[in-house]
Amino acid sequence: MTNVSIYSASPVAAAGFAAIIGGIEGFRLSGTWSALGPLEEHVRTERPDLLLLELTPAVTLDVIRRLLSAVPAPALILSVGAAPAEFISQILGLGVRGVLGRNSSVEFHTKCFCEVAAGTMWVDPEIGRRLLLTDRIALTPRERQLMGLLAQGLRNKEIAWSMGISEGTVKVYLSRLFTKVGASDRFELALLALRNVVAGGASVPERDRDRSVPFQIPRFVSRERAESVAR
Amino acid sequence: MNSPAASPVLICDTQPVSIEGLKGLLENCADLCYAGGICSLAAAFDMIQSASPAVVVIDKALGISAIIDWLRRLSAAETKTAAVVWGLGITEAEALRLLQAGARGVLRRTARPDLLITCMRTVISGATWIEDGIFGEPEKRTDPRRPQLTPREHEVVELVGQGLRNREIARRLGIQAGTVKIHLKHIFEKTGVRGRYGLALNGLREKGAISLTTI
Repeated sequence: MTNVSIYSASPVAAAGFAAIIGGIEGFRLSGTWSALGPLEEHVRTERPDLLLLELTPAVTLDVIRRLLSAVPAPALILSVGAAPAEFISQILGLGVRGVLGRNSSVEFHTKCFCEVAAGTMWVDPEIGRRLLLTDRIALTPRERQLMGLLAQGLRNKEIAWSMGISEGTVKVYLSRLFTKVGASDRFELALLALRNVVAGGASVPERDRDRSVPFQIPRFVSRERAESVAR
Repeated sequence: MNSPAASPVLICDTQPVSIEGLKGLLENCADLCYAGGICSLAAAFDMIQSASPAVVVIDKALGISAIIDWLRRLSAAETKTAAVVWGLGITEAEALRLLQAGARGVLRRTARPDLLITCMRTVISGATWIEDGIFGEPEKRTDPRRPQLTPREHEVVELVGQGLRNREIARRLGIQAGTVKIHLKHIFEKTGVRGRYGLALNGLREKGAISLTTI
């Protein structure tokens, strides 16, 4: 018997998830939650096999990491709305086993639950397609620091001062970053940094953190190739 | 199962799971019945014309501007169908615009299922129903020093946030690049934000897409 728990901010959506789970043989709903605190407590004590999280602003990477650190860890499925591909590639990196879209069909939900319960990974095809169009770019510690400062909106002179280097060196770093990530100006680079901060949030592992920067940029930034914009 | 007098409810939602949830909810109400679930406003309009349900439930994620145009069209068509709009977050200003356009019920997706049922029953009876707390809630954005942006300016801000250039924004909105610049100038003046980068940052922050919580 697979025990499934659900977290959703919307009671009606939770009822929908519950109905889908009720229709799968061998699945049992162990409860629905609309707050993360009680959910985490439940995961620790009741140990559900499968956990479905609907993405809300409260669900940060730290929350996901905590949920996955439970012993034994539940197989985690996330239902994401308009989350950027950068975020999705990071949650998969954390060990999330299934990704559903807000607009995924009921059949896809059933399929995802069954596959993940059987130990396979399952990503909604539409989201998977977007992920395939996402590049992962490795950054050096200094580059991450600089991107963090850029994301704060600092000027070159201010960045130079914060990093203890000259303004010329900042420019050298910047032009190398433009080529590396394929951004054509600092605005585009800063936006990319922000989208990865969104994903990174307060969730960069301890050893990767740079306390002098409020924005933490992960070691790998992801960049979704925007087909629609290029046209 | 449903009595012949049950009022049919049409659901227009971007999330199939919510349609499923609502369907289950309606099955437990003798006076309401499920008339169908679709995910496009155009299809909903056609279904209203042909089947004239008592209520149509609209998902705000379909886009507030599109919904408002659609509601106006619905009022002009003089149908008897009452529209209820629900979304994850609805501000007072948005609720007002929706009601002015002809929506009869407004509530949040976080509402308890029985409230949604109450809402549907109320609009069927001819009254208007708004969830407690949508009006009169202190809104973060109503700062007297920051005049409201026009809907067009909001669109420009949105596109800037996606990283589009002026020329691309112009093409997207079907206006001249020069007009985009004028919009931007007004946006900068109204918001006091410095440069398009700051604008994008502010936009993301307001959407709750990024948090500045330090570690």
